[in-house]
Amino acid sequence: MLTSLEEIFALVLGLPATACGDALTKGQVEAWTSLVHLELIAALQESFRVTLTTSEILRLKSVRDARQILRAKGVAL
Amino acid sequence: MTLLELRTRWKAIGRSGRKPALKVAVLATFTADPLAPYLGVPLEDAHLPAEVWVGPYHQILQECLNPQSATARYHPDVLVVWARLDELWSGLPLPLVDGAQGYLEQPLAVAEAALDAARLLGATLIFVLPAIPERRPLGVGDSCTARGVFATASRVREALRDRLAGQRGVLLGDAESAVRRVGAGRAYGHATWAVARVPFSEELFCAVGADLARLLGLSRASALKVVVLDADNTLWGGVVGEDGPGQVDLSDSGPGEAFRAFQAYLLELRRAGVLLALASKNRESDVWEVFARREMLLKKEHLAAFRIGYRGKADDIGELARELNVGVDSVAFIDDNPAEIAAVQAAHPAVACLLMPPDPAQWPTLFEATQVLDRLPPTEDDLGRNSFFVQEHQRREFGQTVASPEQYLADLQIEVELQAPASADLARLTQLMAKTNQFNLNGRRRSDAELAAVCGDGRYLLRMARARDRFGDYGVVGAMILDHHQAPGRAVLDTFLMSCRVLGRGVESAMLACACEEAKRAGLEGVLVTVLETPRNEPARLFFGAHGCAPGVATLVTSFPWPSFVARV
Repeated sequence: MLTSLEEIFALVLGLPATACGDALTKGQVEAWTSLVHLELIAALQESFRVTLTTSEILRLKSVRDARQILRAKGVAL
Repeated sequence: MTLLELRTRWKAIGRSGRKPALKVAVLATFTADPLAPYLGVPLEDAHLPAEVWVGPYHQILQECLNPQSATARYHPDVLVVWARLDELWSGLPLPLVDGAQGYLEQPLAVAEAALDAARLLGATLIFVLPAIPERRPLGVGDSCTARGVFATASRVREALRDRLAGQRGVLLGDAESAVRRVGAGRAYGHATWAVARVPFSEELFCAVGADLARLLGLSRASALKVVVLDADNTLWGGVVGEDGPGQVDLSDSGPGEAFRAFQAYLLELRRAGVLLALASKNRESDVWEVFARREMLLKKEHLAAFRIGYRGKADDIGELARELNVGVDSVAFIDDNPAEIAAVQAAHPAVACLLMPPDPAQWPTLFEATQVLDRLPPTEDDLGRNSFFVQEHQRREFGQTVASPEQYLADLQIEVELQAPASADLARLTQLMAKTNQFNLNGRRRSDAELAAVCGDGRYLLRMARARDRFGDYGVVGAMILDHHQAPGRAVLDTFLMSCRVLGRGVESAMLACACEEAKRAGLEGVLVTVLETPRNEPARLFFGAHGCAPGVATLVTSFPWPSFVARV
C-alpha cells in the first residue's frame, strides 16, 4: 500500500517521486490527461480510503490541492 | 493484488514491449477506458496477452455500421460491446406508462450492429448484457408493476440474450451479475459519471473485466471434461475405513447435508456432459457399500471410471485420463487433503485442483470463485459424452467375446461419413479443434470466425467425420482441412485431427483415404503431409509415422486405402 502522496503521483504520472512535490500542477505535466486524472483520483481514493466529491475531483489540479483535499477529509499527511 | 497494483502492472505490461496475441476493441455507451487493465491483466495471466483499445465514447452504432470506422481500421480479434440501458433509454420517459416495445428497439439495434460488425471483422463478439438501471422513480414500488424499470430492463436483457446466445463467435458477459457480486452500493461512480462519463467504480470494472477474461479463456482453452473426486470428506463426512460404511456422515442436517448438496451439484455437472470419476484410497467394498446407501445422491453408475486402492492419486489420475481418452488438462481434481492436492499438482501441473474446505458448507463460495468448474453451454456432443461411456462399456464387454481384433472391428459395424460442414456444425468443429491435442497433425487452432472464413474460402476444402457403430453414434469425431493452393500440384494437409475415443477404429484411415481422393478429384498429385511434434500428439505421430510420414518432413501421400471393415456412408 502506498501512503505517500508523492509516491502515488509519481506512480500514476510516471515521474520520479522527487518531482512530485506540492508545487507540481496539472499544467506542467503533459501526461496528466483527463483519463490519467481519473486514475489519479482512483489511486488517491483507494490508498487513503476516502471518496472525493464531484467538485473536489474538478478542483484537484496540483499535488498541493490533493494534500489540502485529503487533509480536510481527516487524512494525516 | 490491490486495484492500484493491478493497474500499475498493466502499465508495466504495456511498457514491456511484449507482443500481444489478441487485439481487443471495447465499444461502450460510456467512458470505458477504466476497463482496460482489468481485462488485460487477467488475459495476460491466462496466457492470452492482449492489447486493449477503447473506441470513441458512446459511438457503438456508428463504429459498428461504418466500414471505415476507427474500430474497423483497428481490426480487432475480439470486439467487446457494452451498452448501458441508462444511455440507450435516454430521451425516453421511464417505462411505467408505455409498453416494453419502445425500450427494446434501441438495445436490439445495438445487438444487430455488433453482430454484423463482428462477423465482418472476423472477430469474436463479447456482448455485455446491460445491468438493470438503478434509477427507479417508484423506488421500492418498482417491483409492484410489470412496467417498472426492473421488469422492463429484465425483458430487454432476455431479448438480447435470446438474440445473441448460441450465435457463432458470440460470448455473452453480464454487467448485472458483476453488479450483484460487487453490490449496487459499491458498483457505481456517481462523481466520475458527472465529471467524465465513467458510470462505474473501479471495483465494478474489475469484476466485469475478470468475467470477460474468463469467458475468453473458456472459449479458447481445453474444456473441462472430467472431474476426479476423492471420497472420504469430499463426497461424505468422515473416513469409511475408520467410521464404517454405515457411519460416514450423509445426514440431512449439518455437514452431511453440505456433502449431499455437493453431490447434487456434481450430478448437474454430469447432466451437462462432464464425466465423473473416483480416486479413493480405501477398500473397494467399503466404498461401494457407502455408494449403495439410500442417502447417496451420487450412484456408482454415475461414475465413468474409478480407481480405488492404495496407490498414489497422481498415478490414478494419469490412468483415468487415459481410460477416458482425455488430456490431463481437461481434468479437475477435488480432494479435502492438501497433501494429495500437492502431490497431484506436482505430477500433473495441468490438472486443475480444488481443495474441499474443512467446513464442507463453504464449497459453493470457494468453488464458484475459481474458474476451474466454469464451462460454456454444452454442445450436443458434450451431452452425449456420458452415454458414450455407457456404450464404450458395452463395446469392451463385446470385445471380450470376439476371437480376434480384426473380427472385433468387423463386428462393430463401423460407419464413417465425411462431409463438408454446414454452418450449424462450426461450433462443434471449433470445439473439436480447441480440445483435440493427441490425434492432431500440428496443433493448429482456429476460432469460430477463422473457421467460418476457411469454410467460405474456395482455396480450402473442409471435411468433418461422423462415425457410428452397432452400439451407438460417436457424433462428429474428426476434421481435416486441405489447402489446395499452397503447393503447386499438391494439396497441403493443413489440419487433421480426430477425437481419441475412436482411435484405432478405422476413422483416421478413412479420413486420410478421403483426403487423397479429394486431392485426386481436384486434379492434384496427392496430399502433402507434415506432422509436427507437439507435447501431446504422439498418437498422430505414430499413425502418420507408420505410413512413412516422419515428424517435421513434408511427405507426399498419393493414395491411401479406405479400411475394409469401415462402411462408407
